[in-house]
Amino acid sequence: MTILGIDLGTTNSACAIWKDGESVLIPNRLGSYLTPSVVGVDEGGEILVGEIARHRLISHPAMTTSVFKRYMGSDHQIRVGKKTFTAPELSSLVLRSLKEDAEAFTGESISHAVISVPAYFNDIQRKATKLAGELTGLQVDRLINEPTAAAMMYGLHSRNDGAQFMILDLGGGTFDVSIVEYFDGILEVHASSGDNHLGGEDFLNMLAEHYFNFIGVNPNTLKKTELQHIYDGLEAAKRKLSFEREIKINGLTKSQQQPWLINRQDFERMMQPLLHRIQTPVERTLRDAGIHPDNIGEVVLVGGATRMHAFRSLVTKMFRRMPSGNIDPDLVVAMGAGIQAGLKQKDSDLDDIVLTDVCPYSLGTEIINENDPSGKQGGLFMPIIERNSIVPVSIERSLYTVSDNQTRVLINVFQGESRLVKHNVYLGELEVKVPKAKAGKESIDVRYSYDMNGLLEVDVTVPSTGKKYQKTIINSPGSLSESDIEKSKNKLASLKFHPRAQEENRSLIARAERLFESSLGERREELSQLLSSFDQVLERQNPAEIKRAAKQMSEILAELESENLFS
Amino acid sequence: MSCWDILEIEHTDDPVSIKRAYARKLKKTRPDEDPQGFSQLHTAYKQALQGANINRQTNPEPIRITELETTPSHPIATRSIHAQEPDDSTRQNDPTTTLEIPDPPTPRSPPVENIPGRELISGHLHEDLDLPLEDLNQAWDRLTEAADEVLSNSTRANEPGSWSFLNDCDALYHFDFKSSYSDFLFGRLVYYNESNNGHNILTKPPFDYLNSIFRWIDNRTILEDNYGHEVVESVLALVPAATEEQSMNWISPRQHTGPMIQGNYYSRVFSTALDLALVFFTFILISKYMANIEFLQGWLSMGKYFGWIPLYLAMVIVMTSTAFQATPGMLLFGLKVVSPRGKRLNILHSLLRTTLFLLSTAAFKITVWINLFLNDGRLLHDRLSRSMIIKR
Repeated sequence: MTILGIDLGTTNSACAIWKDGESVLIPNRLGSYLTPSVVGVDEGGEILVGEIARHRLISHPAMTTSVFKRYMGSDHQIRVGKKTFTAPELSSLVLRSLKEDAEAFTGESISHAVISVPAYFNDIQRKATKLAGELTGLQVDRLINEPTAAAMMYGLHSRNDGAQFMILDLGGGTFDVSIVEYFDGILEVHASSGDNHLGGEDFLNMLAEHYFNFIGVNPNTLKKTELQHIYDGLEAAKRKLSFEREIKINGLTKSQQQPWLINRQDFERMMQPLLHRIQTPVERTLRDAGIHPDNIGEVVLVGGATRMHAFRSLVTKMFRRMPSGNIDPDLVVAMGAGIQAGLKQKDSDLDDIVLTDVCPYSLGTEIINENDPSGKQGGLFMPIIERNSIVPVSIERSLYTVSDNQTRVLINVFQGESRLVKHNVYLGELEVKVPKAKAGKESIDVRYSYDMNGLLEVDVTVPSTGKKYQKTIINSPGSLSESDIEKSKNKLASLKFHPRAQEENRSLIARAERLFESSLGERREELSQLLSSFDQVLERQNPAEIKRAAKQMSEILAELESENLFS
Repeated sequence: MSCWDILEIEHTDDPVSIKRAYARKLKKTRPDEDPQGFSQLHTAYKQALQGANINRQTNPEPIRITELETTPSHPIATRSIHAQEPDDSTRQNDPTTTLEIPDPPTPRSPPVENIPGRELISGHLHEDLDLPLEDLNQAWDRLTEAADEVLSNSTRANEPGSWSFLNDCDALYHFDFKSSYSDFLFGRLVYYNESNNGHNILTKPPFDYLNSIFRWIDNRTILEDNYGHEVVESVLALVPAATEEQSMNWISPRQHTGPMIQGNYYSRVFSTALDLALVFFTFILISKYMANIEFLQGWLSMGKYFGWIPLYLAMVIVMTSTAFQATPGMLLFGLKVVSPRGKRLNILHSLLRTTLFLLSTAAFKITVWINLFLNDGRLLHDRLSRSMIIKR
């Protein structure tokens, strides 16, 4: 039985399996290891995932969606064409595409998976990720933290015994920090922290804000296609700034009169608020692990956004030394997930490897705030599981009734570090009945259990009646009932998908259409001719000819793209 | 059973042998197979390590933040970064200077060979990170002087551009430097506020800017340990008590999430008044412009004084059982009606609630007194119909 290791990312996803003693990445139908996490619907109502959908973000913005990982764990509905989806449903479409690729690669059907999640994902978001797997028909054997997965890959390959290293994982939408130690085949995570809403996309938005300021245009007045086009151009500019000292942004929209010149210093200054936000979790992790920055052996960068010069330079400034960027930051998490899949399969090559992880945030409950009769501050947060406790962990605390003849106790489950519950994340609640008694006489024992997957279970016992409430959290925001899940499954089953075999050609067409959208004049004509001649070739259905034409077309497109970006 | 028994080694102060013993045992007690055994083992391991650390603390760690605080001119360990010749094999078309870390020099072999076309592991740190960085000691002198200069003049301290010297300082990203400088600056703020008769020298915008860099509010407890509660409170007084600028959401989910906070008494009264006024004017408009519609006539003939009451009641029943979960007045005051479990009321429940409201209003001479003695702010009709008015 093969278990698939999946990195379900904000911008890109990838997958790997454990095979012949190593983690092997699986190429997708277009031959690349990265599948963009973009979902779209075409004119015929068929679902498109990956590269094709990404190209169509520009040409058909209303029928395509991306960055939906941000909505994991919320009941936000995302419109794609005529249909609406939740984030787990969209993710499951991406997972489905990965699963198909893996099945084609291995030649067997795959029913189990290890999925990576940002370390700082909360319980609700983790459950949503698990649900996305289930909707695809994948049993999720383990949710692994992204920096931990990266650490596995890094630790196992550097085989640098006794090394303490720090993983900084800046993805498309999330930022995670972990301090990890590797010795004698043990990979021990000392501390983790992060920011769930900080990633490459935020840098892009910040840049866009400055750009709109520069051209003096209110983005709300622009059309959706135009906006997508601007964002696309700025994203390319942002990437280009990692290689060049200065770039010129021009011709992204008609209202731009003069070229916008920015150099690295300008960019860094614009990104300053975000750079300071990056520092906060890093500091906290160091403090929690009780490690001085100078004792960190290496700083390992993971995630596509760490390619940014501004980020690398920040790391250099923080640690006063260069980071190690020697693993492909886009793929290392998927490969780590592949290793975890191998561990799960109990592969004999991994017999002497053990991974221990921590819970990156405190979990606790709301208690009455006696110093605050006005109710302005709200309840206090009582941590039950302290952050960076090693998992699995199970801790029991006793709580007492607050008023005379109280018959029910409501246990609100929160996650976070603030003293007041209102600044923490609400995870759900549990209600138990207690016999009537004087205030403080009745107690309940609340047990929090946090497992290796990062999922929380709350058990409550009432000692005086001996009654046990063994229920996972109910009433959590964004959670789905059995029937909702069934409904989701049916909805996904009714969708039409494009045959996998034709995807390459369709991706070419989508790419050409996207170029068409962003070009003007002569080049447009050239592209439209190219498209129609390619259509003719496709209609003749001669495989050899199609292959030749496709190759030719992708060469022409690559040429046009390189001309087009910063002319 | 002592930690040494669990780890199955002799008592030792050597962390390496403790780690080795832990590793050996851990492979037999994996966290996902034997959680309890693992938890016991890990506790023993931590205990052993801690003991070993205490016993070996004859020569403490070289750098302590406290040292740096008291002696700003303390030499902070910096690692110099050497320029090296570019490696031709990997970066022919990169003309920029190449910098590499000399330390640590662990070579790593590419682990994955079977992937064509993509170099997974490559020493591609061929970047120009605009180094060398400013010397930390110089930066300290520069920044402390600049801060004193800005703070010594209260108009200057509040000018938008005067703190921009913090923008261009890369030393500020260094952990020790930043935390020492944060302490220094906070101390200066305390000092200048005191010499300003306890009034805050900074206005909110510059303070917010500084706070966005140094995160004083998040680290309040640490500051309070150093300066005492009162002082910290006075400096941080510029900060709004809580960020409660939640965007208005008109529609509530079927199930309320988060803590249920009872609506304020006055906002409830005002919202009711607002609703009454609204319905009254609607009624006036209807009676003026639709008086000739036949089936309305029976109702309109009830007259100006009572005709609008049924309209009000119908409005309340309908509105509170829809996704708004509130009357227009309540919406504006950020309130909503829920069951004690936070659920939306169905139409029958809503009807019951409104009927009880009507009855308790009719018998207001009694209910007013009852309500006065219900000191938790939940009025009689809400109590009897098992519903609550809470903040959205």
